[in-house]
Amino acid sequence: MELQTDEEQEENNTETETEEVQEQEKSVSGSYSSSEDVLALPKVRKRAEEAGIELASIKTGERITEEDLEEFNPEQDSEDKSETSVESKKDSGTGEIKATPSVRKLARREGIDISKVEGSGRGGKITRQDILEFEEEIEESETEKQPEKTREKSQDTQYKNKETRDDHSVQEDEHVERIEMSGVKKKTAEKMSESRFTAPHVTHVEKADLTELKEMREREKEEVGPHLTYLPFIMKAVADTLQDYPKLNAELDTEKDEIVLKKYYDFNIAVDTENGLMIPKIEDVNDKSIVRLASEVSEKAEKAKNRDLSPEELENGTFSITNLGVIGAEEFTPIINYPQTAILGVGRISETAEVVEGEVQPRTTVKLSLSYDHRVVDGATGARFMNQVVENLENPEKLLLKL
Amino acid sequence: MVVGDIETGTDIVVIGSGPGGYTAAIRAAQEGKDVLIVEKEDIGGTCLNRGCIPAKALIHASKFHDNIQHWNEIGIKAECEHVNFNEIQEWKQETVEKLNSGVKHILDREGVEIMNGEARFVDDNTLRVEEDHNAENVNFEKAIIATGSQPIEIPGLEFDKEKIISSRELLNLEKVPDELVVVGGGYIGMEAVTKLAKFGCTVKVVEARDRVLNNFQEDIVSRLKEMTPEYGDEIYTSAMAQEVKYEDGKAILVAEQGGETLELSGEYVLVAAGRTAEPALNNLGLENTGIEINDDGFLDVDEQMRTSVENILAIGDVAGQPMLAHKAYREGDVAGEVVAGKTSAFDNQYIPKAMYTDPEVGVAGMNPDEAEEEFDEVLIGEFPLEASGRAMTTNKTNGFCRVIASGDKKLQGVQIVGPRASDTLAEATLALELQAYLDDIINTIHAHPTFPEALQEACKDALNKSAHI
Repeated sequence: MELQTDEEQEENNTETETEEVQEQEKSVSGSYSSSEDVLALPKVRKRAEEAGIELASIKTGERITEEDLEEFNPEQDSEDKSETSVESKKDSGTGEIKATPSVRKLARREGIDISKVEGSGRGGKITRQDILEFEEEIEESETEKQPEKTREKSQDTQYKNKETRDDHSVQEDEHVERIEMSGVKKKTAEKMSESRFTAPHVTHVEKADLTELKEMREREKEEVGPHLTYLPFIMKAVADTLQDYPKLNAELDTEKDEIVLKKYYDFNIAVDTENGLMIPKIEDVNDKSIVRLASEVSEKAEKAKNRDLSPEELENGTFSITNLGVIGAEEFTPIINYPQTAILGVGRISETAEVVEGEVQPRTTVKLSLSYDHRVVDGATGARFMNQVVENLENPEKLLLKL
Repeated sequence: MVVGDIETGTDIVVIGSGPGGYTAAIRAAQEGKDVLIVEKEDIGGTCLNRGCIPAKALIHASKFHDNIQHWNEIGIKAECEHVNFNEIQEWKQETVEKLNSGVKHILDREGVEIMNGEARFVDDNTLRVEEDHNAENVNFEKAIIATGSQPIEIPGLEFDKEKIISSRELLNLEKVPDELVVVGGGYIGMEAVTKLAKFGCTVKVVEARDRVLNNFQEDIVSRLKEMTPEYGDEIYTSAMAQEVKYEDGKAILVAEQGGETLELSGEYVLVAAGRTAEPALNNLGLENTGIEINDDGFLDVDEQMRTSVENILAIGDVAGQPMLAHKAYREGDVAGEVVAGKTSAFDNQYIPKAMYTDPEVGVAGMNPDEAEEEFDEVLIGEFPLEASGRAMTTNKTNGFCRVIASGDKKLQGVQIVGPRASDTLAEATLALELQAYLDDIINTIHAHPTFPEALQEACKDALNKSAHI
């Protein structure tokens, strides 16, 4: 054993020669310029000499002890450095995948092209952790950076979800029933948490008087057909207002700290289905007639219920509307369809007692709840936006003239 | 209704039950599939019945001579009274049968059905299996072709199984011939030398190329010849076998070497010029499926062992070189999992090669020449077995272990010549697949005294750190 250590250390001498010169040069500017200036007991100096260690390369700032000497391992330092320099010169192996069989298997199981993964290990070796992190990155970039991308990837996220689910410890007994979450449910859950815990939400509630609109709708209904709901009018009122308040039709690019204003108006409309919440997209709301919007909404809702929506029809738009009022809610706090900036919640449309020109009158009203990302939109802008939406809805003739 | 109209249905049909076929069948069955094997001969295929296993059994027996000689040298006075070659063959056969019944037992346990006969594709989902005069149609969802290979026949030297034989008949000889002529100096030919020379047979090897064991680096072969003269004597290179004549019950191989005619006599002429997968593939009715045999005589497969027809896979020798049982095992695992819907793939970066000469040879990864071409800097370390304690205590010090690393000290290849080289190769291959650096092997404690310590020492030598040479 003795012999071997000596040999190794001798060899270290030669290996670390250049390294030591550099170390010494560096230390000139420090407190010690050479080993003569180093504080150390003679026996420590002797041991250092025997071991071939330059005392100057040990940086303690005070007297060097025998312990310091033992801890100092020039071999490790020098080896690490020489390796990186060799690697930068030439990659080892052409087209070779630097990962162990089990890691390659993991990548394959998770549907990851391992050649795209950057290895964090020695010489670029891809570790198990690298695969898992790469997978997370893909998921994040899919939901954050590329909202237009389809949601097909929900399969990929199953793995992650399963882990978090397993972590929950719910006491199992006859009072508890476990229901496996469907793909849609899981995706929704994930998106909801992401939105709720990423974007600081403010919800602004405003009442709109729809009496005039109701009368107009009753008139038009006879001509257009029974499917003419309030929703297309609300969509129109919003699309019109968004053109004046572009920040509500925007997305926050957190990487560049920039707000991306969108010059197109694609709305996602929340639809309640047996399988959970679906939010099909209606494109170019500003360019379409109320009648056209009405038929598109009912077509998409029907498709959502039959699970016939294509991935394109489920893409993320620029603004969302959720119409919970048709089921029952006076007002509520919708969660933004992230990375969009705002969502409008439509409450129950009902007859309420309102004071009009000093008189209490029965009026048809609705409470609109606008949730917005407070990082993008400040309170005043949110309030002004809502004022205009309400104005549009309360003066439908004017709104229609604008279109 | 005629017998030929019987129809059977199965999820998976595996054609051939060699190392690839039976592994694939077992894996698929373990994953819950209904699996049927079609085999026209014996379960276990070439490797088990007439290849690796019986050959290694005979090689083991052939070492008796050296062993007795050595015992006498160290004080165990003994002599060989008589060699009963028949009994050796019986023991070999017992070994084969033991393994054979082991495979059958596992197939049975996993519920794999076995059908004897020859298979032909009728279409992408139907196979016709014929045995004698019976025929049966098998409807399948997925098929795995694992029909293996057979010895190549040389024109003018067609196998007659009497005098002109293949490795298959060689393994079943009833007595050791005095003289044997081998056509082909590949590993099968050289293993024949190993098996029979020790029993007193003069083995003459005729090789068309300029050296034997062309698949192995030249310096390994020359070192092998230095250690064991049998691999150097009576070797005729750059010689083309022409025909076989018969004289006094002996076969005489006529060959042409540098314009001169050679006449080599022996009781048998063993033709060991390589193996081919084509004859079996030609009989499979592949034309009814759209699968084509490529120019090299194999089936093209993707990483998941699928052929151009998605529900038909191919593994083992039919899927291309190298034709090695352990490659087939791995491919069988992959195929068995793929047909069961898994994402497995044959993504191996290293296929080790072992040769049972005396001493053995084992290689994996790059050889020094390949490494020189690939990397700016190459580190090579070598450890001679003369310095191995384990080698000395077993009186087998012929050989060396060599490692090849790139400048960043990453292991790129291993070459071993010596006793138990095929065993040490396991660690070397594992190290390569696990992307090991020399220090990973050096800093792993190796049990002492063992042969694999040589690998550790060779790694140390590559960094000039060896304490033992």
